[in-house]
Amino acid sequence: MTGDAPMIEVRDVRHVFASPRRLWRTGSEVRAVDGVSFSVRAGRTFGIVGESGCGKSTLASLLIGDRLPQSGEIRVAGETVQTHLARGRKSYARVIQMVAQDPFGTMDPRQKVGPQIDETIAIHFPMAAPERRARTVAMLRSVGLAESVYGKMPHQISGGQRQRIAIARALVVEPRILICDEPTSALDVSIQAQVLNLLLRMQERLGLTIILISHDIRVVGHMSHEIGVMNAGRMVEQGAAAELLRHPAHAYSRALFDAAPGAGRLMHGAADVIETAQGQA
Amino acid sequence: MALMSIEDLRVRFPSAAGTVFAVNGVSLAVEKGEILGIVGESGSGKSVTCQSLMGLLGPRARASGRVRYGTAEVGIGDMVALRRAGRFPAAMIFQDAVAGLNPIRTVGSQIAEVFTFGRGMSGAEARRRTLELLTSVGIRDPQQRLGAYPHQMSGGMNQRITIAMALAAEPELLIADEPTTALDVTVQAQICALLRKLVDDTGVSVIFISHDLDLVTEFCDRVAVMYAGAVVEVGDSRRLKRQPRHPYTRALFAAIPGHRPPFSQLEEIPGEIVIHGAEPVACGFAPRCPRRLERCTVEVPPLVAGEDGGRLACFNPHRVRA
Amino acid sequence: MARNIAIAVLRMAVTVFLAVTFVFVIMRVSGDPIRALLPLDAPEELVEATRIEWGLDQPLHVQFFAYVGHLLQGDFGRSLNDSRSALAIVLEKVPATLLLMSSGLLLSLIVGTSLGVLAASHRGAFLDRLVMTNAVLVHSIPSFLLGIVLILIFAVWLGVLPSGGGPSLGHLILPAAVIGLSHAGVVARFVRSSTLEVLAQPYIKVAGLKPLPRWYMLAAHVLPGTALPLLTLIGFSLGAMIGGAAIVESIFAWPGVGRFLVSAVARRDVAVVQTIVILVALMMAAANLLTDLLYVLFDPRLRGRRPA
Repeated sequence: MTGDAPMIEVRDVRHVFASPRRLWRTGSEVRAVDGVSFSVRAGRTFGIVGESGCGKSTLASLLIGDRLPQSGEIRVAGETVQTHLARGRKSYARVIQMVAQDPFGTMDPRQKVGPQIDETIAIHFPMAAPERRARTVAMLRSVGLAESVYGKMPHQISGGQRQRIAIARALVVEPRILICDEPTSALDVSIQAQVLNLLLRMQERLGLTIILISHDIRVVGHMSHEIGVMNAGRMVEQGAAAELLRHPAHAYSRALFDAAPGAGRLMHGAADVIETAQGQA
Repeated sequence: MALMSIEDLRVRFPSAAGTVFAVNGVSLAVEKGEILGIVGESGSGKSVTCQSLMGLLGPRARASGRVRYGTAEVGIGDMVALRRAGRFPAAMIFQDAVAGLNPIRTVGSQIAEVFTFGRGMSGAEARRRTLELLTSVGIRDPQQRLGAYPHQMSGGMNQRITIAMALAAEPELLIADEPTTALDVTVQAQICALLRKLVDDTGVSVIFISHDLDLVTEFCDRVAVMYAGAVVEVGDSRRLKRQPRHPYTRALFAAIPGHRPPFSQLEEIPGEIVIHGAEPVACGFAPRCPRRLERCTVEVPPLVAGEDGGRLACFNPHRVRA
Repeated sequence: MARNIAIAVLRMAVTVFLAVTFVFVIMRVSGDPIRALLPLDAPEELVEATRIEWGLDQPLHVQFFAYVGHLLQGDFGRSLNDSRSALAIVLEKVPATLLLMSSGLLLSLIVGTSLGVLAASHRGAFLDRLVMTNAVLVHSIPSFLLGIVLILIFAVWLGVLPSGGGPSLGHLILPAAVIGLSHAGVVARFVRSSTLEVLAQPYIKVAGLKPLPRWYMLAAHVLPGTALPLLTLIGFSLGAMIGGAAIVESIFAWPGVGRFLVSAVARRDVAVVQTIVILVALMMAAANLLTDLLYVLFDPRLRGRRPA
């Protein structure tokens, strides 16, 4: 892949959920993704913002390869998702990983947390057990968790910690791309700050390409280089974050930003930046 | 005079891990025709405070404190009886609107029953009032909605229905516990606009509970910030937004994306909230507070009037800027 | 919707068919009807002649096809006993059984529902535990034992009720009581847990915040929530009672289908037994179908999507 080609390229992707017509019911068709195109350069964050039902989660599942689009093309690191998957799910998992909204959902409730990450390492890297464990502990530390978390069960740790573990497990595989689908929606504000800060640090350190999906424009506006606004399966507007936030062109984007609490700050620049708590008295 | 005030509310729950001191000395007042926001993260005690007003605490809770309502003053334990006797006209709506509606009865009947069985009106009169109420909460085709069932409608529509249902009893106070958290942002804006309109039109007071500091400071008249079962700061929402004085309030604002330049690190409050396992003897926020003094770890800061009209529970708050 | 009904009816037909086939084979394979019919010392030629007369000398599958053929024309065969139409004889006895079963069911519902709601509203208290223990206790007593005990008490010692016969109202009391009380336990347990489930629902909590009288809350919000699951219980109850009807009717000499079935099996009266089986299978399948239909009728969530 040349240095110039985008890391992710989505071209006119469509995906329809159809309920076929039967004798006892009329058919129905939901155009979950209805002609979406965008591209993301390596090391950048593309934020997708939209309300429920706009298709952002379906888009995430298409990117991660859980589904194949019915039409259109998704290219990741230069090759289509189909090509990647043909080489095996395992190898695609080293290209792209996902962090979802519910941290509990991806964890085995009956296994300790540390060994679950060990297991993920074992799937991808040939390594002796002590080395794996060391890798896991190092990853736990870099996401800001104490080594003691290794031996805890999922129900013994807090929501914020669980989300960090989900990020740790995703990053331990050393992917190039991270998809975050509402990663902080279930978290308190102060915990959300910790997780977003972590993502920013990881991106800087590892050169990650990130797709950040959220219904909260504040989250998307904070750490995206480019933003796409989705509505009813379409990307109604996209562009550089700062510009789009300040001058949304599409009526839907304007309505969305007007309605969002705190969006005024984003739209009019961080003029009233608050000093840190340690700041002036 | 305030419409209602809570004085020194304390609520404890027994639990497997020992007693949980969920609310520790909360005093709040609500004025007539105002929207009071209560904001806090999990464990702040915001929901428990309002549930105790409505007598929804459940038999295992131990609550103490006084509620002044109009000229009456009662202990918190009498709130259930007071409400049942119809002498505390307050209503409450919750985050999950659909769950609060009976799935096998029409939406219209659930509103009308308040008129027929609660207020003794005739069926026809109740129907008329129901249609009026549905219109006033912004439902455009009320005739059709009368016979509809909750599962047939969207979340936003159902929340309007629960608001209508709550207003049927003509309350003077409406407590809304995270009513928009589960709704899309555009629908949230509509519901908030509806609440504001109702307050302006009918003079009902609203207590609006949320975890979203931006939302309450934009939408409510006054805001109370709660942490670990105590009110740490309360005051006019615009002033609070411009100059939060309590270290927790300020840290909370700084933790919300957008208060700092993009791509910068957001404020992280070190540590985690600790819910009291014993009667608090110090400031609940002290272990995590960057402005902590010696005094904060041995004394509970009282909620006192500040220099600028709000109230503050802090020994070392941020100063008011000129 | 119509398709669902059609499928259900088809399933019903298959069930009935399987039941009849099973009984058909068992009745002929497990004993000789003709020998049971004729006196023990009857000569061989008479036995053989009778057998041919009734068509029981043919191979099993031939008999079966002949039987099905007749069934489709509405001929259910004749009783070995008195050569009358099996269907006619059985239908004569049906009203008595219906009377007994519906009385028993009604009693079990009234007693069981009251006890269940009582237990639920005093959950955890002594009353709750008392009701529930007794419910299990009474249900564990075999119906024939309960029947005999009640006969002893009310017919023999107190002499206020007849010990058997019927089908008058006086004769109905004891057998209906046996069925009703025995089943009331099941109903009570079910209603209790169903009521507790409804009480735990958020909409009950929210409705409780409205200025509504307590009786209205119960009648308009709590009970309707328990009524729906109760429908499925009723469907199940009918099935359970049909099974127990034979025993109770025999003990109390109640002139119903159950008692008749017992004697018909003993006599190897094949046509009658088969007819009764068909009837019972049809009744149970119909009861289930009705339950499903009523459920769809009363639960708005199952009626199919309508635009918001």
